[in-house]
Amino acid sequence: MNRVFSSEWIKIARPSTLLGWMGPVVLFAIMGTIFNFTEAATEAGQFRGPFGIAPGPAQLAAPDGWIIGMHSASSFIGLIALAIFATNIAREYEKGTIRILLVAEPRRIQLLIGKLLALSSFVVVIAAGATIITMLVSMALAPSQNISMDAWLSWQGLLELLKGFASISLATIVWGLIGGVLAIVARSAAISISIGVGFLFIFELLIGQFAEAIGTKLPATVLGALASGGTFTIDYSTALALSLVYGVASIAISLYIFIRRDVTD
Amino acid sequence: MNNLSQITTEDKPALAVDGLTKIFGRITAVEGLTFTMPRGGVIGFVGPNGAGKSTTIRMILGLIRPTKGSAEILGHGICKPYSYIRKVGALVEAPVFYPGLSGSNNLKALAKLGGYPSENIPRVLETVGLMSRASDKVANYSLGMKQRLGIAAALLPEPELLILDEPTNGLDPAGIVEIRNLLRQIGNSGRTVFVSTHLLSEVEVEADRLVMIHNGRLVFAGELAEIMKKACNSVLARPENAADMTLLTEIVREAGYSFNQEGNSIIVDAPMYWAPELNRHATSKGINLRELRPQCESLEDIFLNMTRGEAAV
Repeated sequence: MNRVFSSEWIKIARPSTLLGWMGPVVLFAIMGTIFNFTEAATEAGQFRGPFGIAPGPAQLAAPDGWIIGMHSASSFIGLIALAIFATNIAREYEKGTIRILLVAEPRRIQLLIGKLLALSSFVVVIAAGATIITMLVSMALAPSQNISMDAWLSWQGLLELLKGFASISLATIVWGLIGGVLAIVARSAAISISIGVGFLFIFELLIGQFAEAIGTKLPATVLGALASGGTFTIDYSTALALSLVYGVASIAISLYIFIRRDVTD
Repeated sequence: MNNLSQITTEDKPALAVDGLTKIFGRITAVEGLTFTMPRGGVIGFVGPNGAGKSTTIRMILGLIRPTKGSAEILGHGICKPYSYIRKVGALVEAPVFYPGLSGSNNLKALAKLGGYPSENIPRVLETVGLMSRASDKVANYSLGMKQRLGIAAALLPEPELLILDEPTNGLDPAGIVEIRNLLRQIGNSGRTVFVSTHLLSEVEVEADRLVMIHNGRLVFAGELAEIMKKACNSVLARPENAADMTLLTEIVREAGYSFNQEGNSIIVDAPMYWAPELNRHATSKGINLRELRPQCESLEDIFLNMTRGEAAV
């Protein structure tokens, strides 16, 4: 498994790959943070914009206030993670490189798990980069909006930071695992990303409109709640448990198909 | 116990295929393929496009699960490819790599994945003549260079068995000769090269043994010399003086062989070992022969004769 992990990182650690994926995430996190701080001051936390409902000044001054921008950007980061997993795995089939991988490492469980671990670590690095930028932008904007940073820099603030980062990372990984299973089923990056985006961002919203009870249990809602530390409709522990179920189910389906399917062109 | 099992597998043939069959839906790609090939030398795996060569290679490498039958590679069953794959180097169909990585980084990723020593990378790049372009991105490689990189990747594990699927595709004539010499060199070193191709003329010059398939079924498996011996079943004789033709045909007729006259030559349906006897008879009757040589069919002709009447899949 270590060999697969190291090998995979040779492919994904290229600056162009890292910056290409991290760039949009960081940009989105910065925009989300700027939106939160500017709208919080003017609309007392009730403004609804492209990044959701802006938090109020009190919420921004809370211990987790400095990474609230990440909550706003979490769905976008999840989408990027889905695309990273889907592109990486589907391209192995599209280009035929899956053959050389399986000739070098024919143990399919090890190969897939090693690959998923490498991709998971990659999206965590991206999430970490975006979190750091969000913190720095928050600290830069707070004085101009009269938001106190005292709670952020307390022990409680550091704990909230760690919890927030862990939640966002886990949600991002599960987004990626969903992208991975779609890629293994479809063996096409374009199709798997289209299905993922179509279901998670359109179909799921429609289901939520008609059947709220089911809607709150669907992946995008659950993962959004996990990344935000819980929402009004789904609490944190439920979101965590359901996210783990989605993650494990994705791995199990991926492995089942990957082990059984012949590698043909 | 470990030593015993090592001795046992080392005594086993390079490839022992028993009734290997693969059915995709309604199409039978490979049917009851059975052959055994000892270790060492170059084995040509030939057949026209669509004969089932790549499917067989994929089954051998564990990429495809056989519908029926079994096979042993270096003494290990193909149901557990991990038990033999580290002794096997392979290039399956067209060489594929990560275009954004350099040639050497592609090999580095493969070496890490397979657990092969990274010191092998410069050696294999040198072997295939790609050292000077090793740091270039594969996206900028020509088809021939990718083919060479594919062979380099197959050589990374220092394999006991090298399996190459159409390795000379895309190479220029000089490259083909280089690769042919390389395969010969590997085969002569005691290792086994199993090379598939649809170009029968290619294996005619480089292989020691042959596995010939058509429509997924075995046509021939054995020594190349054996099949070529059968191919040389006529003798061409040309008298120096055309007027001696009648006398020459009488000699052939007396020996009980049939013949065809083609211009100033006759082609006798006799085995090649009869040629010296014909020469003796002709000399004793005062006929000087300008030309006397066995007439051999090409491997392509033999293949076509052996598979005549079979419809393509």
